[in-house]
Amino acid sequence: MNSEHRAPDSTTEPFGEYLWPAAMLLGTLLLLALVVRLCGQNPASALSALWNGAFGSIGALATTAARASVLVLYALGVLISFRAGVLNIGAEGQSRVGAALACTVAFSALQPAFAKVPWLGIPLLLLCGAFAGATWSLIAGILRWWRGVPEVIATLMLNLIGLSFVRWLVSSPDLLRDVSSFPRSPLLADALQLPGWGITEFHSGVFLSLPVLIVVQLWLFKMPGGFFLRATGLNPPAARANGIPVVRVQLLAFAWSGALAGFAGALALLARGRLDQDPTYPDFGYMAIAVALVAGLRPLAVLPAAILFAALDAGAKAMQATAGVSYWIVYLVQGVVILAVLVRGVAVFRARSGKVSAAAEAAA
Amino acid sequence: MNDAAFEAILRIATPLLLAALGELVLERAGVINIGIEGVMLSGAFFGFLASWQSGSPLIGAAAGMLAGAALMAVFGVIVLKFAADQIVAGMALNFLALGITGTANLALTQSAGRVQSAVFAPLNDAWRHAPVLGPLLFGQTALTLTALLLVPLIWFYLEKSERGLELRAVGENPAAAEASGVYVLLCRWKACIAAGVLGGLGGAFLTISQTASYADNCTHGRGFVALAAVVLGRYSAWGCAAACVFFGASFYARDAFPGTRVPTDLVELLPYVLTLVALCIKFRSNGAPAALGKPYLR
Repeated sequence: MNSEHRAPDSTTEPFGEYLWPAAMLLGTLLLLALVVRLCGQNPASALSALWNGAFGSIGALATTAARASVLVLYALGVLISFRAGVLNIGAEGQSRVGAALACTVAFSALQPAFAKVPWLGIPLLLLCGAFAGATWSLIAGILRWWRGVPEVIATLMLNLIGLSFVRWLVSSPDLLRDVSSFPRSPLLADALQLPGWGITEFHSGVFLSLPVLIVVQLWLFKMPGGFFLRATGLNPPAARANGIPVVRVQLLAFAWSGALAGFAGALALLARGRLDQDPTYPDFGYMAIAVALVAGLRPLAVLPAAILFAALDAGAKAMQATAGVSYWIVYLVQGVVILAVLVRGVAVFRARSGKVSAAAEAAA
Repeated sequence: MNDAAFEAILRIATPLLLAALGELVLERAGVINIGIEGVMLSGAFFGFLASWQSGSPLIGAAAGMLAGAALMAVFGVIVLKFAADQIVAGMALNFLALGITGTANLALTQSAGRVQSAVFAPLNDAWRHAPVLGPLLFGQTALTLTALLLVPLIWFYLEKSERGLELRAVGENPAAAEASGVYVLLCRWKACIAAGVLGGLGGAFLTISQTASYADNCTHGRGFVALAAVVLGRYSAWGCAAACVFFGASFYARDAFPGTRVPTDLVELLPYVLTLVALCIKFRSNGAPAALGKPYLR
């Protein structure tokens, strides 16, 4: 915890570190109330619908937890890449490609092996997802290093490519499509599905996010690799001057962040049981950027931030159903929150634009 | 290829072209906005809203431009005043537009049932079937004509005029431009607003010239295609126009022959693959301004 507090991008003003999340939360609530009012609805009843949809029952809690676990994995990936000074915004595509490779392997010649050795399937498919996600992400990393292609445009394009590509896979009968239904893959074998819980989105893999989060936290703040990563993001020239292999660190950051997204994609596939035309959690790859930024790019803070956004997501769907306020309000909040974080300033972004603070230089 | 195909391709290319030209001016001034999708979406919604309420597509077009400009003013404050990261701000702009248009759409139009806005009529319906000029001009609306006229105008402005030279200097080397007496931030502010106006008009085209109705997220990634067109067009007005017509033709092919030889989903990813390829090819350079995406700090 201590090293986290001494991180160079923490605020310098007293109490700022605790005031800021509180102010964000209060501001978000005020914004929600204001928008609901502008829509001609009663803020109190709309907000209580939102609360009930997110935390009001065991089922709602389970759904919120399932969504938060996806967001945690995506946001940790965003965090790793942003901390290294590369903006990988491609979780959306990387998770899709991860799910697609996992699905392909699930229906491959290995099928009899999965049936015979029940413990083999799920870990292998998760690894396949992580591998595909890392590969998809590394395309952007390699293009940046080899051709100077801005990674944000590359990952954005790879998102759109990945989404269309997977849609093509599940709508082509020769490939992954279940020919007896509308475009989607057949159901995975029973041994390959994660046990769920009733009609909720909860599944046995939800809590896998927690060990991943702890590992990222420890690695980032206690291991040399994590130090290299942070130094690279805060001041690449200084890092290079101190013998840190900046290019390798950044390429690894691409790979790991993509692997996390692909892992999450494969996990969602195993929980859902089949590959659909569209992602199970659409736009969560982008929402994760808001989560990571609100968390100040700190792994431990990602957990509460992810729970908040997952609650907002689950609650807003309930709010649309009962209080007549559109689900799109979630996007409005996301946009405002990201802009607020940007105005406040993010150390890594300052380094990217050549504005390196004295604190950052001292750290590197 | 028949006349109807030409007419349709040009119609599909128009919103892309309007948005791409705005983005081109902005990027040549050294600012990149991946929120052009959001700008188009807000133009589409508010253009539709104003056209529906007033019954005049002209007022709709004005409202679309205004909405785009307003959104870009927010963007300007974030990236010019606070010098924040342009990419992340652009992404936030997309969220903001999705959120505003989505919530407002449910609140304002849902209760009214399925509403239709007033739309632009073709320039001259009687001459629509004239050879060449029919599909290229008379069968199109005033907005397509505007987009086509803007191509040479923006080319002239960027490449031949003194103001355009200043703008390019701001994009290539803002410090040197400032030293020679150009107000970098003012120039970028103007480019932001221009991109908002054109992007908003491009979005409005979708609702008040093409469909007369509005659906949530109806721009459906066209802003990203426009972004792709700027890169693929090597940051020139003519190049943008060529890229937009090419994308228009590929989307036309997708819609005209559904489910046959051209898989819809593969055509959809074509612009993005081509953009990546275009970004990789370095013929001298890929034409991007040197200071693209870097905030200017005095």
